Amino acid sequence: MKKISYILNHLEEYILAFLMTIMVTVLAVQVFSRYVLSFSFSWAEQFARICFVWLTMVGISLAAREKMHLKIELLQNILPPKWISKVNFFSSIYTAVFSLFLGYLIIKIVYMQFALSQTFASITWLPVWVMYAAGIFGMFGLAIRTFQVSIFPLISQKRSIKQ
Amino acid sequence: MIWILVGSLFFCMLLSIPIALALASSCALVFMITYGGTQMMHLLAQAMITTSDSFPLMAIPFFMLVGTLMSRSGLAKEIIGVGDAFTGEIAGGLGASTVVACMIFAAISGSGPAVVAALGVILVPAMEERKYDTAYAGSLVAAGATIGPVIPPSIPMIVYGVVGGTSVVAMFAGGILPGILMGTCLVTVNYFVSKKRGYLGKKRGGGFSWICKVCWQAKWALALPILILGGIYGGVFTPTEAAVIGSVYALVVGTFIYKQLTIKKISAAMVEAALLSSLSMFVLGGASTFGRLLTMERIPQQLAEAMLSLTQSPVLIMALIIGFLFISGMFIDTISNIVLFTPLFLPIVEKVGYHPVFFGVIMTIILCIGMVTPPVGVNLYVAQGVCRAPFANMIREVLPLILALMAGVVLILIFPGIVMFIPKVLGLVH
Repeated sequence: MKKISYILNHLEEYILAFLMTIMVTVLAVQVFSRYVLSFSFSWAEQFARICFVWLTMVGISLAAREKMHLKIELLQNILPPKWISKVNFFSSIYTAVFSLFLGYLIIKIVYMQFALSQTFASITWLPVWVMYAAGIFGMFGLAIRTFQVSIFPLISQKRSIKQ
Repeated sequence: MIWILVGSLFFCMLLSIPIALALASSCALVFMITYGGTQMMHLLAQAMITTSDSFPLMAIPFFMLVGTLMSRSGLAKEIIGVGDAFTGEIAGGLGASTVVACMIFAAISGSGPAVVAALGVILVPAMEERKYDTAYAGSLVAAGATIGPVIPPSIPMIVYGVVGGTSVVAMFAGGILPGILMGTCLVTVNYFVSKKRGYLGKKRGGGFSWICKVCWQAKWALALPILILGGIYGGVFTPTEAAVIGSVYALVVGTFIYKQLTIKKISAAMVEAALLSSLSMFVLGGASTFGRLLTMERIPQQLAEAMLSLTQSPVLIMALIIGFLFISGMFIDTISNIVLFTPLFLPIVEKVGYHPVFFGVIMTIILCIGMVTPPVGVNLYVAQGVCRAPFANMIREVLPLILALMAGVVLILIFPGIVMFIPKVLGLVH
């Protein structure tokens, strides 16, 4: 049980390292084969781009866990501490809710692409929804991690203060 | 309409909602009010994903990877050695070496704060040992690292190239001389500060042959920029491919020659690179719909007309924009700034006769100076983490260095050739 929760908490890191390895390998082989063997794979660039979409989306989820998303922290320097936690609470809730909304829209897009059964031009067996599905991971991951690291700790902190 | 868009954006950003989501929410709000359809909402969600479906932007994670791998390979020491060999002897020699090392590191890594962390941990204690003021030592590393994104490869320039539809290759070429100029400005200020405070240089270890020997020891680090830039300008690779080849090179050198990289370190470097790249890509995703809305509503043209009705002088318009970007750079990070303001300002400066490459380089420099200005200077915070001096002291010490960098900007404005010379010689711009 402990092991499973450890893996779940570090899920993004495994995926990112895996994707990076694949992208570097595919593109390095592509450059090598083009200049040395004068042969290039028609699918390599499209494949790397799909990996990049997944890399970005999984990274968004990890960035939420690390609280690293780019934001302006001007108010944090001005407001009294009591207000800062209120603003943080609101912005975390908003982040989670809005990313759930975006995730819901992306599910609809994936569903539409699934119904159309469109495939990539240079990888004819791969359906396009595989790329869009990355967005579901990214947006729901962003919401879940925000709850995990920014919302729940604030709630339990408040409770312990009241008690 | 414009006021709803901009107003809601500022409201969200002030509440410290992630910038990417702030951009997306303000677009969503406008869609709900004026276009009244879920179809437009789908475009918004779709754009968040398809922004990453781009080969030029894929250079970002790979250049990040080169940096994260190299800083784990223990190359920093050799690079500092090279800096010391050239400038160690003059007054404030170690300070000058710091700047030179920052410049060399800049040619390897595309981001600033990473340079501060990698070099600061070695250089700040070394400067303290030679009686440098701690806050000054930290500030010098922070200011030196602003050169990082100006000398190629550069993440902000890749983003500018894609957002502004400018050649990334030409941008890279345009950054070389301004980067060297910024370094020269810092070394000059450091010389006078050191002379006044009596920070002495160290006797050089030998003559010309000794310098060659030190450079030869750092050959694996120094060869990387030659490989990357030589490959790009030799027409062998695109920037993205150069970044991939650079990553493979860094992997091989770090694992087999320096024997510092283990599987664990490599995967940590990969995760860090991916994480840093997603931060920028997320903002780009949120901004792509925002930019499209601005264009649809003809906001850049309106802004251009408004500014041109104020003044027709190109210099004055450029000064206004630089002033605005400088202030904005104090609060917002470099990438978000480029994504937000390139579509707004580029049409204006083009109209008054500046080249997009010139504006891109100037914009990068100004925003990078923002990384050492309080209140939100990333480099300054990272440097403070390394040197542990009081923040107020660091602000006082960094001020002359900021002025030196600004003097460099003024020089570039007076002599635009500093930016345009290399791209012109290489035939990248006309």
